Amino acid sequence: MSHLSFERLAALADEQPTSEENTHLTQCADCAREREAHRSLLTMAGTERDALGLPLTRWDSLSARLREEGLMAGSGKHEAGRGSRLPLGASHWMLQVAAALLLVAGGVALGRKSTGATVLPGITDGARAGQSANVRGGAPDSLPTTFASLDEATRWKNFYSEGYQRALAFLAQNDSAGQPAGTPAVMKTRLAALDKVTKMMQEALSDAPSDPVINDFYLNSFGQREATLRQLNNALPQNVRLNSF
Amino acid sequence: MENEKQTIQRAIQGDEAAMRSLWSRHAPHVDAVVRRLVGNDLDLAADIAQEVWIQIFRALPQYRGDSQFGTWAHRIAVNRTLNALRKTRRLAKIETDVEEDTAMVEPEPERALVMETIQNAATKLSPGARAVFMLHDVEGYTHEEIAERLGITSGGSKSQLFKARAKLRTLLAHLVDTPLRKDVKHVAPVF
Repeated sequence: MSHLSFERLAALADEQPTSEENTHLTQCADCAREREAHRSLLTMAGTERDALGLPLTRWDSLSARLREEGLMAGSGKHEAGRGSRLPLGASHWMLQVAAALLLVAGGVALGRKSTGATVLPGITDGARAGQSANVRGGAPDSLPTTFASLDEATRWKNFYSEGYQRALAFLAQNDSAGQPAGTPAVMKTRLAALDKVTKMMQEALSDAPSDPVINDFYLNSFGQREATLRQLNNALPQNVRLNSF
Repeated sequence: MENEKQTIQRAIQGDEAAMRSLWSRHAPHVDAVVRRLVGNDLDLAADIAQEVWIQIFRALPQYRGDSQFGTWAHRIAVNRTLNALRKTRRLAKIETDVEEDTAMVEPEPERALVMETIQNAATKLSPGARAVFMLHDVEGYTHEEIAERLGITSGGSKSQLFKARAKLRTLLAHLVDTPLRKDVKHVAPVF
């Protein structure tokens, strides 16, 4: 019998030879060796199944797609009843509304303060005492160490968040560390920096869309950006207005 | 500790942590399947792998738990990748592809050292031959299953597999054999 063809030897890696082929294989060392080589190859191929390589997918890009597709909570399809999440991409308008509300609340609070009223409607006496402690320059001595409810904790958080934002705005307006206070150049520099911060916070929010700290940071930076833009518009000549930067 | 069934239920509800958990556990194997079938075009492989995961999560409500989640995801990965390759026309001429590509192989001894793995060597096969080889010898599919998925006959699948093996045997000679005797003439010499 002639030597077995190369393709037949490849087939015999996992097929049984005919009796004639078997006889030949017992007598022909070359064909037998070739068959063994193919068997080795087949064994190697079998182990290849468990071989892993560098990952092809990244969670950040995959999760963004899953949200777009409505497959992941935080997107429109699953949003109902899952209120703990503040999604970014599909609900950018919500963030803008939230930031606007923050600014409005800040403005209202400032107005109330200027008339001698409490900063936040419905705030507890402790909070008022805390505020006056703040005004005196000391640490708020009446901030409760524990909170009775989520609502109470949220009110305190909002109270200090708004105070923090107002303080930042005041410092930005009055303490420019040697630079001309409130000039368009200073504000533009701040806006550019805030744009970077906001972008970074957007990326962070993609990784941790439900994280309350990240959400707060994002809203703060977004709110600061809007506030600076508003300040810049006030500082510019009346016939010049910026809607974006 | 939560079992996979519970994780899947939460993932069906769109729970990000559950979805991420499934992805973390099974992405290495899914990615490996995609990479093997696609070959050395990593950009294409990455695109297809992402589509595979989208499809896995889309189909998750239909997962009945008859098989392991990994096996189920693996099947989706294979089918989706083959579909994607077909769309990119890489499997369009599968029959002629193999005929033209695997009939003769020029020995490349200096390159043989570089091609240390089957996966690397398989990138030298045509897309169709690689798909048949990977599905049969690596993934364990039968010729009938391959024929169904690739739209060829099971005989065609066998023929392509043996040609693919013959080529790989040459490419991986440094790993699997002792040199052929030059004075031995086979009926259908390949070299």
